[in-house]
Amino acid sequence: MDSIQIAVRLKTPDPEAVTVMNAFRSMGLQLPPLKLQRHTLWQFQVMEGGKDTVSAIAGHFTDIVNPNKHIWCFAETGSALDGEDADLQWTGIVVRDHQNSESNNWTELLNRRGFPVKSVRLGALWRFGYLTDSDEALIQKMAMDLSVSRTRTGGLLSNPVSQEVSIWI
Amino acid sequence: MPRAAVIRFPGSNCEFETAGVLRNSGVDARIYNWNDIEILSDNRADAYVLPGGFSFQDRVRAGVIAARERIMDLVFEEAMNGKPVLGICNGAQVLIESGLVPGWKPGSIQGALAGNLAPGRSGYLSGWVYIKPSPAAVSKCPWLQAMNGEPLPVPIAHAEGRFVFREEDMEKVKGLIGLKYCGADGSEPEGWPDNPNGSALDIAALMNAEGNVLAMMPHPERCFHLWQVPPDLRGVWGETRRNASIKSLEDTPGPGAVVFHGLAKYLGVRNG
Repeated sequence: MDSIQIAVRLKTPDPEAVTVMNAFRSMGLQLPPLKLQRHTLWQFQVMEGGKDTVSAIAGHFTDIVNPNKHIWCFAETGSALDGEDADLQWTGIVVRDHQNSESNNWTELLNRRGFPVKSVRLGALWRFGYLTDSDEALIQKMAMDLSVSRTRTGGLLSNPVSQEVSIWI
Repeated sequence: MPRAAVIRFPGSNCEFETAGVLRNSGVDARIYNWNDIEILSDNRADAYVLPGGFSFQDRVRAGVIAARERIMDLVFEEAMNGKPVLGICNGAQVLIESGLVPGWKPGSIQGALAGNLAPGRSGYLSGWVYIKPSPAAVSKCPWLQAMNGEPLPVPIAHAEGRFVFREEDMEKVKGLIGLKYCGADGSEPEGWPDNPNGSALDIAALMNAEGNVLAMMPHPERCFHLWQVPPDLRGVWGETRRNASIKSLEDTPGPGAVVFHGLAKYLGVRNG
């Protein structure tokens, strides 16, 4: 059994990321990220075929990857994602719902279509780009603080009551 | 005449009918844009309504960006002063993300309106459901005080309408239930479709402890008039609609009117 993740993003500037950056600016952060990218993160538990199976899924379902508007890549923790600015230091945050109909429905759909997938889990991967000389622990903490909404003036990207957040290392 | 402020964010789409039904109930209603904070601050209203729609295109999470707008500072302050505040659908999502509801510690996020959870379905859902108020809510919530406990049919239209709370808060939540989903006869729902989104404790609307703030997922403004009720709806309201004459349809209140009549009663412009 392989756990394989892919990150899917828009070819065009992501309006959601633009909105979040604007919101960050209005929060008066001392050190806001210089860039922010949003990806949809698909995690597949694949019973056979590994990356070939996932590539076939990504090539088959335009609801997952629409080649007219999306770019996708395999997302492996610890490595940069395709297209990221090498002049910046990146850290990532993954936001996933505790419970999510869509993940279950995709698992059932893929099984019905004969893809050997045990489970699918959907999430959002937010990549924060900071200056390269930034302290890694510090930028991870800042990204996490910006990501968890504990108060109405605090973080933004996840509601801790219904979602879980983790650092993408 | 008492005045209600309907707050419009970019992407709101129910502000005109919401203001219309407030006026029809005897409350002067005006629409304010999200950046009209100075104007509204100088002309405080007697009640505030956050209408339905897709504020900021539901980016990140429904309601979260609007909740951080400066105008919500004013709504927050007015809510703390005891003014009636109603959030309908996207407005309810804004109230939850503002920490006004459940509001045990105002400003802290203590609940969520998560994505619908239903077997074999995901995403946006629209249709008619039945709701009924909790006795506690009728006694202390301005928006629900004109209700008599009977089940009411109302439309829903949302993708993120599932009330979620931390396990340790579930007991406290029970005291804040404003409206619950139910069967057409008022019976306890047996999952989907009576409870259309998997909401905890079958909650359709939740209030704060004081009862002046109500976060409501169904759309009462979309069934303010009897003519808005589909004739093929099951239950008493469908039958009333089928039996109504064309002429009477124009003036007869629908099931959602009771929410706005409740506010009018609270503000002293209506008896019942």
